[in-house]
Amino acid sequence: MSAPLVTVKNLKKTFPVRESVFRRATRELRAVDDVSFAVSRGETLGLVGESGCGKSTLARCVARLTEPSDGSILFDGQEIARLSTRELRPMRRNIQLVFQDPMSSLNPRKRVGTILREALSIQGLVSGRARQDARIAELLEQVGLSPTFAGRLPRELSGGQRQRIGIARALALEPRLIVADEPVSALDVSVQAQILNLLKDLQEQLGLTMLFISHDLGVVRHVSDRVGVMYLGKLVELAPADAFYEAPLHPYSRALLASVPLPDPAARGRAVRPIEGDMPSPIYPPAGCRFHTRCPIAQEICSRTEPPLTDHGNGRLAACHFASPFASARETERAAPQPSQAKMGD
Amino acid sequence: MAERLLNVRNLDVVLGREPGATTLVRDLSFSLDAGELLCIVGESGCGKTITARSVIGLNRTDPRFRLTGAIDFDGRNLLDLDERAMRQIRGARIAMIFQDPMSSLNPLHRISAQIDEALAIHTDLGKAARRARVLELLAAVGIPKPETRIDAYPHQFSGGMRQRAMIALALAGDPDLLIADEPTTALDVTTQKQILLLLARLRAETGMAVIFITHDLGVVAEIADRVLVMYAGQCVESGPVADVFRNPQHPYTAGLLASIPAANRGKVRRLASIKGAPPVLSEGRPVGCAFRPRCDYAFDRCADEPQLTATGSPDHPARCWLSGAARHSLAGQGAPA
Ligand SMILES: Nc1ncnc2c1ncn2[C@@H]1O[C@H](COP(=O)(O)OP(=O)(O)OP(=O)(O)O)[C@@H](O)[C@H]1O
Ligand SMILES: Nc1ncnc2c1ncn2[C@@H]1O[C@H](COP(=O)(O)OP(=O)(O)OP(=O)(O)O)[C@@H](O)[C@H]1O
Ligand SMILES: [Mg+2]
Ligand SMILES: [Mg+2]
Repeated sequence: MSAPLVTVKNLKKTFPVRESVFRRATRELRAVDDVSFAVSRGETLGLVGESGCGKSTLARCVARLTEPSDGSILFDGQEIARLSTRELRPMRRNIQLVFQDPMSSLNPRKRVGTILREALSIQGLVSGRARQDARIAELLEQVGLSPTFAGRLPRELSGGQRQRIGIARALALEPRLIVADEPVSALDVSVQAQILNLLKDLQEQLGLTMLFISHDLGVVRHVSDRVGVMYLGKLVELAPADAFYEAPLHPYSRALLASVPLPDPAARGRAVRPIEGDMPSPIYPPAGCRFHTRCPIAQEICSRTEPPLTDHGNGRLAACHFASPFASARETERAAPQPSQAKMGD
Repeated sequence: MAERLLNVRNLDVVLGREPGATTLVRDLSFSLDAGELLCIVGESGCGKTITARSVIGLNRTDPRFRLTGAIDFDGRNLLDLDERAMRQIRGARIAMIFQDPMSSLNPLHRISAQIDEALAIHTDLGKAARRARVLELLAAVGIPKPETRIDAYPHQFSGGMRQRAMIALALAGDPDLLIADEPTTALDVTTQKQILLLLARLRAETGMAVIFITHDLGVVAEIADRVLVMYAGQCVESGPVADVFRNPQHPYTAGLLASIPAANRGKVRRLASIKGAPPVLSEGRPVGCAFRPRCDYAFDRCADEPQLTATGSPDHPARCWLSGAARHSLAGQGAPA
């Protein structure tokens, strides 16, 4: 197999935050904390995790919209983690982002044609009005829109159509990596399916590599070759998609999957206990394994020693002292309908 | 059969005056028994929130809306009540929780004060008894160590805790009907699961009926007794949840079910999808069946608007000229274009 297109090593991104409005002193919020992975050419790596776990921050680092605090990002063999804005310019077109809300990333006063033309001109990729017009029509067709859409303003488009324009703009530069951050989260189900199919088709036609971020585990299963799970800035599991969905190794992955409501009334009441409590503050992450405070199978070692992301064979990695494809009794015992602490009603 | 708790009959909600009036909800009928959980599901803009607000009487004083039909609750038509009578029902008999907790929790007041105020209105408990009841309610919705949290402000709570506090507030009047408008949409799946389990437990303990609004068919499958599918302000199908999922009678329901990339379904090359997008009602409603422009089975007849009619089973009506069975046999021979 050829070398990966992207290799991320020990990537860190910290933000200085004030603990409260009354204090001057700042602390470090480790949004991405020592994350390593690689994405092969033509592959889609899906990233999942709860709100605030660091998915977008990781995406912005990889796309170099922000500078990592530490670590390395190799893109096609070139180190890009430390490049300055000027040094980044020639390689920008290789990595393009697709955002959740296309409306906020499209200039509301510019017509679709103008938005795409600007993308084409920035890198001097296609010059001459006639050739640009032809390319704009081709791009619109690629994303399933008629060329007449070039005359429309963003507000004259539906949510799905706007996301198609967002994708067309990313494709304009013929990127090699697409970083899609929640690209279908704002869309209705029936339209979401159209956009997911479109992304898949384009990937096959153009040989794109994709880093696909979503909090929706169903969507991620559908598009990804491999899946990574983040928790409080850490990558806690990384595995081929099918193996991951069949039998994840990390108790957090299992709990996350078990929380997803399935569109099947017969699957109701699966014997899994929901994760208890809230996510700890990322400013004061728990010592040892970050998940130990909510983990149903935590042992003493988990609060002392942080488990590294370890290879468990067949391309499956997990960061857990007790990684196993089988749920333990403690995870599956049906959460006995907790007797409520107070009697309701009279 | 016992009298139904809620019976909505031929409800129309029209925005604005002719010409240019928009019918946001059209000929909507549904009913609910005591203790039952009905999910209303549909895509953005199909009229779910408008329907909920109509039942609890929140848009009745807005001069831009005109409501016709009947909303019978416990034997009385709510549309006939004056605002004073309605205020006695709202909060005490029917309570509502919203997608964004901040829209019903006042950020400037302590959680305890807000629940206390609701108790003062809806019960005749004295001050000390109310304080005890606030603690009970917070404990019942699963707020850990409520005695340490009772005097917090909403912003000191996480998203999931705020949602719990809002449920406690809604329960203060001990309602017979709770309307929950997308109460978990903004939450992570793990927190959503906690809230869904909480609602199931509270329903079992209090015997209240629930109308749960969502756009997530996974959530419907998890909690509903019955489901009502809305499209363009109309009910296109309703029935017991297992029936509707196993044997959808409207092509929109079938299309929605097929287009979900479910976490328990293996990867397929292409997801089924519905062409086009839902109509924007303010720009006019499609003539005839509102789903016609997106429907793979549409034929001449669909230029006329179909009525909600019984299909195979009487408690599972659908609004489609083709019954489920007829549609399947047509599909076998190549459906009419
Ligand atoms: N510019 C910033 N300054 C300070 N903190 C930040 C900044 N950007 C992100 N964070 C924090 O870093 C953590 C990770 O945020 P990030 O947006 O990457 O999460 P996410 O996984 O994308 O969440 P979501 O699913 O809500 O989009 C959060 O705790 C967030 O509050
Ligand atoms: N106060 C209002 N004034 C004017 N139009 C409104 C008002 N409230 C709702 N509408 C319109 O009525 C239609 C139905 O809106 P509603 O909020 O009931 O949809 P919904 O099904 O709840 O959608 P969502 O899933 O996005 O919450 C929409 O087209 C909306 O634009
Ligand atoms: Mg994000
Ligand atoms: Mg709504």
